[in-house]
Amino acid sequence: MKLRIRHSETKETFRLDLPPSSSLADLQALVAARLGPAHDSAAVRLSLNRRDELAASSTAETLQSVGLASGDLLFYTLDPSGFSSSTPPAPLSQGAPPPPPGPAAEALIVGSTVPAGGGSGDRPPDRGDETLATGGNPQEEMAPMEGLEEEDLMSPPGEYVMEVDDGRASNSVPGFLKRILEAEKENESARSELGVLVIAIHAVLLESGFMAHNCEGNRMPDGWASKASTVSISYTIPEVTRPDFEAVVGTIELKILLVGKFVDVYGYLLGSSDLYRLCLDASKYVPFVLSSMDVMSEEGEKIVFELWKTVKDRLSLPLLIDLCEKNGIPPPPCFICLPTELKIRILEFCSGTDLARIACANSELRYLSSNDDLWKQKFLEEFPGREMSGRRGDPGRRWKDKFAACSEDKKRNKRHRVVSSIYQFGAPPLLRRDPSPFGIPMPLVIGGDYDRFPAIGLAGPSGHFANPHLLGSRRRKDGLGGILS
Amino acid sequence: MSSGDSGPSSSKQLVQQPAAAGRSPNQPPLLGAGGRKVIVLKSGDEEEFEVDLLDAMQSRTLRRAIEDGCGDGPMPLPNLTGPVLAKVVELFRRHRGDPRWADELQETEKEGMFKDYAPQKPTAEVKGFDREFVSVDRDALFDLLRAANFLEAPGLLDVTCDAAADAVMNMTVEEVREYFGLVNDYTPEEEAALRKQHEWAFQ
Repeated sequence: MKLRIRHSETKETFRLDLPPSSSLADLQALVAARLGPAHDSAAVRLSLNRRDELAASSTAETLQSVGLASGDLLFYTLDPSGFSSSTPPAPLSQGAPPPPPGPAAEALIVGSTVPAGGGSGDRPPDRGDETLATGGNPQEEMAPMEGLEEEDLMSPPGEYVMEVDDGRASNSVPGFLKRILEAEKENESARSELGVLVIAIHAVLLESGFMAHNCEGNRMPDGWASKASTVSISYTIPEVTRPDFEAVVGTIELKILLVGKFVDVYGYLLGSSDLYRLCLDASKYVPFVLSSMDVMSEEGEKIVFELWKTVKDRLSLPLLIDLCEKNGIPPPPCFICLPTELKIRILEFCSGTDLARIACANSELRYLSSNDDLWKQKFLEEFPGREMSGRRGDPGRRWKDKFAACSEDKKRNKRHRVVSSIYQFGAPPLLRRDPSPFGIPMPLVIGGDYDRFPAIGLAGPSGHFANPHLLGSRRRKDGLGGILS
Repeated sequence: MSSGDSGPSSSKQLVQQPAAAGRSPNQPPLLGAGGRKVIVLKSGDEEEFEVDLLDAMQSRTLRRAIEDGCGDGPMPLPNLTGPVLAKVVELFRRHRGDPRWADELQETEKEGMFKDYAPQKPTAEVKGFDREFVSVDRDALFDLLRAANFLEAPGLLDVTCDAAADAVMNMTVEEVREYFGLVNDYTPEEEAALRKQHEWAFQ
């Protein structure tokens, strides 16, 4: 088993190759030996995600069973408090040894329903690849973004909630997850590592147009959590359940297993040998999926999005397309079948107002279009030079909200031009032309105070707050009244 | 393509020549010796297209295949149809020297094969061609998008994604659903709240 070992602070990396039967203690000893003779192997702390320390429940446990695979990147530190020690996930149900990864496992698990030979199709049988793709290192992936987010991190926490109340929450909590998490919040099993990922996967499948057998709406199917380490759920699509339709294959089945720190997902059409397989790093995704009910961090949003995208592109869509093809149903419309990257790329070419309308089309597009980086790009494109000015520069605000605010301004200015010509005798022109009645330079005040005049006697002083959701509470705290609209 | 003599000296000439059909049967396709100029792409419906090696390099997928030595015979592309591949090959030819990928190519170049392949900004003519290229109906556009995705060709991706974004420009929510073939999965309350939240975009 080949591993890359990186110091969590200095980023110094080296490679180790050790037999698959090695234990965590062997690995620690090797790392310590590599660092120099003065190092004690017990002082070496290892982590996959630079947060939670890897721990083995017994000394005999092999590296594979703690969730490591060839090609993994591991972090180490000698600082005893460098990683938070987490309890290792409960091992597989008593007595059942964890199935070895690789093709053998696939045959073992689905052998009863699927012809085992060639079960993995053209997908790489080696778990290492999967792990690299999905279980990689979040910090590394996030690295290019850190500079951009610096500004947003400075904002005092809690301000979001107050300012945009439902606005921020509905942007960040992916709708697909929220519905199911809410429906299952009473369920104890929904809190386990496996349970959380099962819910997330279930949510993505429902969003893609599948319906689970024996289950209604956003609930999980009955009895889904009856076994500790394996969950199977079967799904169908509405087209094949019509009474006049003779389905060739009506059902797809998912098997979701907890193997060490990983959750393996197998998806296949009943009776078909095509098997889609995912291996998800539970410790990476679960905390963020759970926290998605509250306000999520930027990192959390990215991780949950990655999970959504992986399940969607590599499990849900291929299964949906296969099922349609087998039954001779026309495949889902063209756009739906595009991979997520391409959908996002199309959105990148849309204007900000188009994006906002597209978000209202369906929940998948809302999720795709809620990315803050996307809105930052739109803002810089359409309102260049205004990102730091006045209230728009609030570091805590999402770019989408900033965009909305600027957009409102622009619209109001346009409206004002029309309105002011109607009211041209209503107020002295000199007063109305003064852009800064308090003598403070305000680049963004264009029209901000003017529209108040047409409102006088019509809607009262607060009549012009176009969108109280976006501007309300902060504005009222503002000593200058509404002039900085 | 009248595949010229071998040697890097001919590559400049090729850049200026429009790629034409008709490869000399005596010219064995070879990579690495500097003699290889044309590869053959075979669509899912068995149509064959000749494409200048340098043009094919615009696609990362094709480039990987060529570098792996898979380009000696006709290269099968089963998920592209003849008409789509014909359009794509034409776009590659027009975008020869496009800086979006020519830079990348020069970084990875081997044995001076592409050293005369200078990046050049797309001319007005190329832009006109691009507009023409994507003036197709929705399904054809999505075929091109899928082809672009499969071929990993940056130029083709930009042109097609831009066209898809243009297509939904100023559309109402209902029109967007219709165009993208989306199912509205909001409850009426959710949708009303969303529209209110995005009020600024509806005028």
